[in-house]
Amino acid sequence: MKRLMLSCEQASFLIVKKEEKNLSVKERMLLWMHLSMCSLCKMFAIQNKFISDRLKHIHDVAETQSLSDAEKRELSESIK
Amino acid sequence: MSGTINNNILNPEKWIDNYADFLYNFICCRVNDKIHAKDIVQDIFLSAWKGKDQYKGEASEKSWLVSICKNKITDYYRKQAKELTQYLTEFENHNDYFDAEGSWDKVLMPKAWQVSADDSIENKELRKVLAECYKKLQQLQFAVFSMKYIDDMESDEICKVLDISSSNYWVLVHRAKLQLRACLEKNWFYK
Repeated sequence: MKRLMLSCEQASFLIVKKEEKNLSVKERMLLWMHLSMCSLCKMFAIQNKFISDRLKHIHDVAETQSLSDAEKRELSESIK
Repeated sequence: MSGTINNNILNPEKWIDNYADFLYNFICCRVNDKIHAKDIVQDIFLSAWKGKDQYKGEASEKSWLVSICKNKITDYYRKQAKELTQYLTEFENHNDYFDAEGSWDKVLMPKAWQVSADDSIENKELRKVLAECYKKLQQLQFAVFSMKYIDDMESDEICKVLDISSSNYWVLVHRAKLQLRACLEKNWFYK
């Protein structure tokens, strides 16, 4: 019986994979069984989705980077 | 018709003024290391200078430089991917998230998040915290995530570029998600 059960480590792995790939029938079944009795992994699934949704926009908040004048001078020296 | 008329010409003496910041920015979202980002900018201009006779003027000067830039970034990613075994051993040795049976660690296990209406996708403060967590990812994870989230690449494509197996790809992504989740929990939800 134990072999039929996923560990939380395996379950969370499948939760992450499921976002991009279709799981096999067996994987889906095992994950469903695990989630039906593991509240921590259920929470992980929700939080993982929360993060993924925000990662798509992560670069909107990235500050603009620029090189200093000194760095540019150095750069132009180095490629001469 | 013989020959095409191209209005695109190169102005190498203006490259640094016109494109250094733009390229540096382009690289900084994709390479989590400012020193390397600067090296890549230098490398682009060097390659462009050497290859300027091959420039046919089919693309604008800017897109020509961007295409060189993309190749340089890919080279950098591939170099990171060569260290894959090291990453995997490191993950193995510092598996703090699960115990020996693969159950959640008592400290790092997910805790309930009080998500308020404010924690919307638009919430800038939350995104800033997440961005800080994101910067803490290791180079190879950062590479994978920037291909995935900035350049919208599929996992199969990413594996091909990095020449890694799909199972190792999932190990990297799984680990990165565990790190981000724990970091966001600590610095936002349970601050």
